[in-house]
Amino acid sequence: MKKSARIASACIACLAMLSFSACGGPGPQGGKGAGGAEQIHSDAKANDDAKCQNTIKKKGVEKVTVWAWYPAMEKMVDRFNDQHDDVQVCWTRAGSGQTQYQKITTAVKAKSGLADVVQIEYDVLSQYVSGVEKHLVDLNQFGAGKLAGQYTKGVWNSVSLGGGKSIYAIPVDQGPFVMMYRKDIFDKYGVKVPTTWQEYEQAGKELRQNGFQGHIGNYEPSGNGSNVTLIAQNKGKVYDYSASEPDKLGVDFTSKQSQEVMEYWQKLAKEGVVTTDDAYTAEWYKKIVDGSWATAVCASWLVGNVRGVSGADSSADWKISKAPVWDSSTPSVNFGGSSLAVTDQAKDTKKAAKVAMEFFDDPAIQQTAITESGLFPTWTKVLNSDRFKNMTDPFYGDQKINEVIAPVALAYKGYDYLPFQPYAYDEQTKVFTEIVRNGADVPSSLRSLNKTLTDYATQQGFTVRR
Amino acid sequence: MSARTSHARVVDGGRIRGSHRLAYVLLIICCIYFLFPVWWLLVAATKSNAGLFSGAHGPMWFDKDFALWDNIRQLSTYEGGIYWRWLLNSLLYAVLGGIGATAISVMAGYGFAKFRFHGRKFYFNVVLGALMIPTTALVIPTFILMSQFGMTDTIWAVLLPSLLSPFGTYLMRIYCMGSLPDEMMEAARVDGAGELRTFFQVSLPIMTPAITTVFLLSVVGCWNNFFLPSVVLSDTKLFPITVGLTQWQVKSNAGAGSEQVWNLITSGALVSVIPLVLAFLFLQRYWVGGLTAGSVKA
Amino acid sequence: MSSIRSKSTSVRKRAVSRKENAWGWFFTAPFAVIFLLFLVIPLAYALYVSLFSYTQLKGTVFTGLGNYARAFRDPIFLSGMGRVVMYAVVMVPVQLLFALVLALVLDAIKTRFASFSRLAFFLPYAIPVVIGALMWGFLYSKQMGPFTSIFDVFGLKAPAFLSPSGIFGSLVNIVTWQWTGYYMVILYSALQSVPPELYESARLDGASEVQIAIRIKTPIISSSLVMVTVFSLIGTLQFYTEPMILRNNVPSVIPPEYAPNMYAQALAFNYNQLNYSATVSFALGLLVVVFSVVFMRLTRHQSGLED
Repeated sequence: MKKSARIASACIACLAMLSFSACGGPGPQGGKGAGGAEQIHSDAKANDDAKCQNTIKKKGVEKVTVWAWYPAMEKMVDRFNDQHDDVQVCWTRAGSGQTQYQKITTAVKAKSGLADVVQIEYDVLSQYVSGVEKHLVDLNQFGAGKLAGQYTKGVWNSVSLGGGKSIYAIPVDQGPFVMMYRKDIFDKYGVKVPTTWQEYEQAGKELRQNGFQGHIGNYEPSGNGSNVTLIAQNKGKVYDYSASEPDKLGVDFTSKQSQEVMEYWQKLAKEGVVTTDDAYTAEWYKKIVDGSWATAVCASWLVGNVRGVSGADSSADWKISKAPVWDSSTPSVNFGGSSLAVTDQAKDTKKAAKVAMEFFDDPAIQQTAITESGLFPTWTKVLNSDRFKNMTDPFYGDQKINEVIAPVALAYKGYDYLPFQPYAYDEQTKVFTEIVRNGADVPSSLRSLNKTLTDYATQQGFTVRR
Repeated sequence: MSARTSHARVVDGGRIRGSHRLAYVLLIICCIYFLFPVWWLLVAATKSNAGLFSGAHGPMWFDKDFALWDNIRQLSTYEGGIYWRWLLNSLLYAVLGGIGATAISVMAGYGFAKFRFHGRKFYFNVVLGALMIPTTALVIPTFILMSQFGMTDTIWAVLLPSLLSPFGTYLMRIYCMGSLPDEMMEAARVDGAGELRTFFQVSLPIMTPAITTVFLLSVVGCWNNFFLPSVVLSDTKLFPITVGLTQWQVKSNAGAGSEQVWNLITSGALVSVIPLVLAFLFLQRYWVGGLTAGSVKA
Repeated sequence: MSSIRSKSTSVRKRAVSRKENAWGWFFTAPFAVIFLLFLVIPLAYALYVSLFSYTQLKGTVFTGLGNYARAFRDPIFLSGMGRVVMYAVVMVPVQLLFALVLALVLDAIKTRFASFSRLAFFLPYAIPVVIGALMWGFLYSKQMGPFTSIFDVFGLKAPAFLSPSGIFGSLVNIVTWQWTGYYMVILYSALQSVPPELYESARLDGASEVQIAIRIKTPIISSSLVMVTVFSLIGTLQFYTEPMILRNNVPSVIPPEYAPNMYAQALAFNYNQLNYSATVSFALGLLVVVFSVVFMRLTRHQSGLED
């Protein structure tokens, strides 16, 4: 018995080893540095049997597969397909944000199964074009360079990773930072709507003194990009990475600017002026619509989201203004937004590039994107048009909200994100939570965050800029 | 309440009734504990998005607008009615996975219990060890392997791993050892029946209660499956309901480009639990039999 | 191990015939194939992959046991493991006791209300874990759940279910709610098969129902108790779905590496560290096996797992 047992276990081991050598281990791939993926393909037939979430009516036309999670995407895809006879978009919602990126990671590991065109947010773009992870095609070779003037400066900076020649994606939407506020609450308690952060703190205290049961707003430690944005408003540049020096990066949470911002929020949290709830949860939305908070300082896409969950609370009088500033030199900032990128697994790279560049280049699709998907445009022509600026929104008491938001979008200059941004966000959340909820010492917390991130960068082979 | 307890065994009337009263209080409290989340789901499913967030009467009672039918209509149209597709997928994975896993476990359990073969002891000990291996720890390696063979994003990626049921095998073995006398099988063999005929005509009928148990346990296992399908599937049309609803939750929680579909999540959750809840409540009597037979007779 | 003989082998002590050998393998072969393909090979593959390291700039290189050295010094992995062990220590006894009490009570009173209760307790088992966790996520919410107003009635402040201090109990509660009924049914059916004669005499001797339950009924169903313990132990050590779903409600309270399984997933898909992720998976699997084997050894007699 014993002997046969040993033989059996040996056999199992053998079988297991055999199966490895058959499929091969994880070997090194790609070269060093940044830059577009080299692979250009031109197989027009490869997608003929692709599975799509939309129904394609035109038969025998070349298909390009797209992963995106924009609301109302199906309607926009139908319109695009209707207008094109040389290419049809085969769209799938593979996830939203992080869940879709997981699918990208999955397909990259499998070396197959990735869509030709994928939606990618600006803050994770560099992750797919740095080091050995070069999975996005440089669209400059397909003429994307000449589109630069059609988009706002900030987002173009983001898709070119620092304004270089290579273009890794075509911008779609952005999230200009603004403040939504409940005019009725400010009126009821006789408090002036703040325009600076100093006034914001003051107004928050006054609201509570005058009997308001809620808070003026919320600082969300898990806000990821929004917290980078709040620091950027004070001219703190926490992340530093560009395509021109792909092996180098910088992390700077220890600057005076970062510290000031974090100390400000720690103080407001400690004084009970703001709450420190987590962002984007059902509860968070609930507190926005039920009047627990008098303001929400956030990206413009929240404007549409709030409309979606709000009930018929007729007493709520929502208005939009510019985000509070530190002083007159505070830059216009942005939080979020996404782009369409072409992957190195695109079956027909040129056609895929065409789809990425032209998908939203249609007034009807742009209109749907703005009104139904709630996307804030990056197209300068739209942003500057009177029609866009004069759009009124009954939810905001017929305020011409774009008159406020559009200038912020146009003035945004762009900033950088790390090639391992999801990791950086997770670490950032831990430290910011400690700071605003548990009163952790700001300078030393930020120093340790800086160290965690630079250590990780070094371990991943990057040179850290001092 | 105490009137109804009177027909319980009466030996020392006062004392028993006293402890029974306590027992009833306990049962009532526990009923509330186990049922109120279900009640909440029932109520929440009848609310619109706005009703969920700012409706009247609080979370445990119906809003003034009854939106259940409207929600169900939305389930049928949202993203082309993909919800029903997910429900069907779950059903398919659960039934096919359940049948497959049961067949394999029944055969293996029978083989382990009734045949002495080379390497049996080692083999069975390995199965016992496998009982402990967290299946979730296998998901990522399984995924990497599958991707090497282009198997990800197919129904096989979900179905095949769910065929593995060391616990079912273990249960069947115990049951066979306890309920299938060797003499009976010998008698069948003496009568000239082959091993296959003995298995199908003599042994299987006796194993029915245990088979039902293993089948239902496997069905629940597959129905619950979440980690594996969420890793190996990209095509939304292949999602089981668990992954689909979670995707909607993530979508509603996303910041930019999010869509608030909370009403679809709650009503979708309610509709999806109905089939299994009904099946279980009505089949309870059949499937617990095998479980206890296994554990008591061991 | 060979000193303990199973019932079937002791009945027929004869040499393994070639025919029997063949049939034995015939019946167990399909299982063996699935077992190899979806357990042995993935496990071995995890081991193999874990011997390499990956960095974003340099790609994949062989590092031997380097990843294991890293894992067992990685505070994130270790705290995740510690957390899961804590859950096992709390959750397993809680569920076991709760299920046992309910089963004993239901066994003692056999009224229509009792059978209704049995169904009610069992109901959560039929609800997928994902949906159960989603529901509790809503219920725990201060704004959207019922507890704030319920506690208000008594002039109390509702506990902060989703705060760093409350989350442990909240997760324990979800698991308890979902699985206790199932364990209860197993124990209850075991009690049903206990012959009444075994405790009738004790009853005549004046033993109370509680005494009978503790002194007589519980020891009889010890093998079922062991089985339930093993179930809940394995379930707990694989902790994944509940914290994963609740994380959507409170990302700052449940970090992405809350449980080792979640850490493995975050490493593989969010941080692009597939090799290290395999290390974590493998190390977790190893620890669970050790944990459970020790437990099974200790309770070998009751569980019927001896061979």
